[in-house]
Amino acid sequence: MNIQLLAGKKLKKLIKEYYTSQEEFAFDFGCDVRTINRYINNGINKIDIIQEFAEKFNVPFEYFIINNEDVEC
Amino acid sequence: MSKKEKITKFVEKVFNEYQISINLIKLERGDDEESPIFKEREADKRTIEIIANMFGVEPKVIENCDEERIFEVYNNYSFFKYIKDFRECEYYANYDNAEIQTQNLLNAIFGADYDTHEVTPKYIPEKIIGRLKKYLADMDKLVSGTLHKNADILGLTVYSQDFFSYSKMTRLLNSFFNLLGRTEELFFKALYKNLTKKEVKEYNTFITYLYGRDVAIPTQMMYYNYVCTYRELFKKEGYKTLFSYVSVPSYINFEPWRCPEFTENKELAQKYVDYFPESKEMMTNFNMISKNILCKFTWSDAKRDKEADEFDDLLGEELNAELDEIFCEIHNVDKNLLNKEITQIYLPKTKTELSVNKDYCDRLQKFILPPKKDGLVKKPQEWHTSRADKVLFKRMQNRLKLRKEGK
Repeated sequence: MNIQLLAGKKLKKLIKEYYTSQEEFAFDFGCDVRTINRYINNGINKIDIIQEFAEKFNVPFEYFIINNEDVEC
Repeated sequence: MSKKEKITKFVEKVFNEYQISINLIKLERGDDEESPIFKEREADKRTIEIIANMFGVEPKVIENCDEERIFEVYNNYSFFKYIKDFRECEYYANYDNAEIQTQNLLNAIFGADYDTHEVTPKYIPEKIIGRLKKYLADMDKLVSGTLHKNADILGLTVYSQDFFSYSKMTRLLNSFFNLLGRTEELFFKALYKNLTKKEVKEYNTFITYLYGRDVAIPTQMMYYNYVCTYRELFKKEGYKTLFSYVSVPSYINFEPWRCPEFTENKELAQKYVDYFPESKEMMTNFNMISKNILCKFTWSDAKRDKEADEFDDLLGEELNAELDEIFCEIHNVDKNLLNKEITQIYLPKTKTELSVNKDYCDRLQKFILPPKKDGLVKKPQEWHTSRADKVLFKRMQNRLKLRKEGK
């Protein structure tokens, strides 16, 4: 499974759990909703961005790149 | 000393004392930043009037260099005392402790003006590069391709920040909220009736310190006279908070979360975010660069940046190459690094580097979590709706229309 896409799907899962919409998350995180949408659909290809999301949700970096919950890609 | 020199010295002192840019005078006069405070042979009437208005005093106060009158408002608000203290602590936070101590000793011997810019930053690329390579190798096991095995790391820059203690944080924040609250109170009062002379002095002094401009016209300072001229329009707009009318530059947000004391009081932290919603993401960024060292570099085998290709398409390859050459020469940049993809990574700090900061980072992290995880709540400013741009444009048009009508 592609790690970049997996990271995007994991982000989507976290957003769904803690926010009512992607817009709400984008506002709270301080970026454009289109950027978030791009990460979710095309994946996250930069390690520093994954590091930042891990910090925001207080989850380990590995959460985004190891598929132990059968997240569909 | 001529009268002009005396006034110039006085004005510079007042502005320096409270870290207000002297350029504000020139901008108010409609001149560029390079021009002197007084352009004429004498201290001209108009400039004196502008300066007097900035502090809400009679021109005579400026002409007489009446310090007491000017500092009256500052002395009544403890915020100005605390913010000076705070800025000093902030300055020393970015340098090596031992060097700072030496520096302080030199200052004591040679006087406070001894140059303090010679100290070494705490984090420098030469000390980091070995650790960075090892970290990239470890990450490569998790995300293959992180380490470019046969390539070199070029143009490495490192950046990090540490917490610094400011014991009077609660007092600083409360005094800041007092100042903002009082400015808000005076602004809304001015919409309905004329302020007293004392109030005008207070209000204009705050607007000068905050560099408060009309949200819809960014070059226009929101001084009392301006508020009076447009009060009917402002009333019609019907917003309830100061920042819906007055825009302040980002440096007014003094980023108090860089002090551990900030993390001790969630209520005050929430109040700060209510005034400056963007603070929440700034806290996230700070927590990242205080837990880690942000490393930026280019792999020697890096691909060409996509944006550079788009630029090439726009200007043509030949012209672009010429511009690149000039850019490298001016900025002393290695031509091989230009337009190549930059890699950015957060290198975790060691236990020693983190020391007590680890606890502070953990406490600050609780603030940046999603509200459902009990993080701070970031509310949009009242006019920041999905149609904010259109609304702002309309507000600007309304002001210009009134101005055209002779207001």
